[in-house]
Amino acid sequence: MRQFRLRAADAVVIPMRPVLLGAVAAAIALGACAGKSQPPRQKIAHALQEMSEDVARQVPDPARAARLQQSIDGLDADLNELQGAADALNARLRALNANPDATRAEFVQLLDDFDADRRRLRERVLRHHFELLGATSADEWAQLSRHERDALGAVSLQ
Amino acid sequence: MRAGTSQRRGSRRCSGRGQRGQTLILIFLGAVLFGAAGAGAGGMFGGASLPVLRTHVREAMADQDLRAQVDRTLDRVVASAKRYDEDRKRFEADVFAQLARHDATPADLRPLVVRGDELHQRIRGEFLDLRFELRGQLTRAQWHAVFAGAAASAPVPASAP
Repeated sequence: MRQFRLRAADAVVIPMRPVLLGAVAAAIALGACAGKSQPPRQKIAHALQEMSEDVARQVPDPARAARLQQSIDGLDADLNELQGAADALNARLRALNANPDATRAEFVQLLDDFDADRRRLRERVLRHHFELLGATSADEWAQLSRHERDALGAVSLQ
Repeated sequence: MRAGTSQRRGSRRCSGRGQRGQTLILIFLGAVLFGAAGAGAGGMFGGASLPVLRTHVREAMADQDLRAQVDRTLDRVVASAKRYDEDRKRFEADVFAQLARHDATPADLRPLVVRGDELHQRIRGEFLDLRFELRGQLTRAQWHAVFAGAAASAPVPASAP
């Protein structure tokens, strides 16, 4: 089972949901690409990995660190699910667009379905966001927030 | 196993995803969670780059006047994409500024959620309008030639069904 490990001496090990294995395997298979050429899932994983490492460096309390890691894992799962929905939307839209007889109602239905996923995942991500705020000091969050920003900004329709 | 570490140990080859060139509408989903994504706008036009799309149109349409109409619609697509990209950037900056605040509350974020959803709906509507305007300017055969990835090397007669 995939695990994020904190580097601190008192690190906790939190098991990841098995469902993430596929995403991680895909990211690994795609290889390491620098900068903008990185696939979205790889960017998400990289940003959240950096976040985990900063938690290990900057949060001395193991209980708080464990709570933070759980929220990071939750973000990982939700952003990967969102990326999967975006990838599926992209493929379905291209297929629908290629059909000259496609109706506006078909497009609207497709986009509405995606929108429902997006709104559901938005609520979950915001919940994780406020969990992170609740488990950090202002100074700690000043260091960690950029990683959240990078992870959220990585989701893409390509 | 740590994702980042695994990636660093992994293959160095790069996927082609980032090298597809500029998509017709480069609207990222960076703020997709908050709605200002223009979700699917690129897909509505097949995701092809603008030069490729124009080339396909040139190949598929013999009639210069009709081609000029399509070009004007494509110009409007690009203009809309640029305008919304600016809106998106402003929106995204506001969202991330709120997320960076340690004292922000769910109530502080709610107006941004609403604003994002409204922007999302406007983008959707406008690009759907443009997509179907474009559809009305091409025959079925021309549409296939332009968007089905099998751009005809020979012009498709404008009278084709």
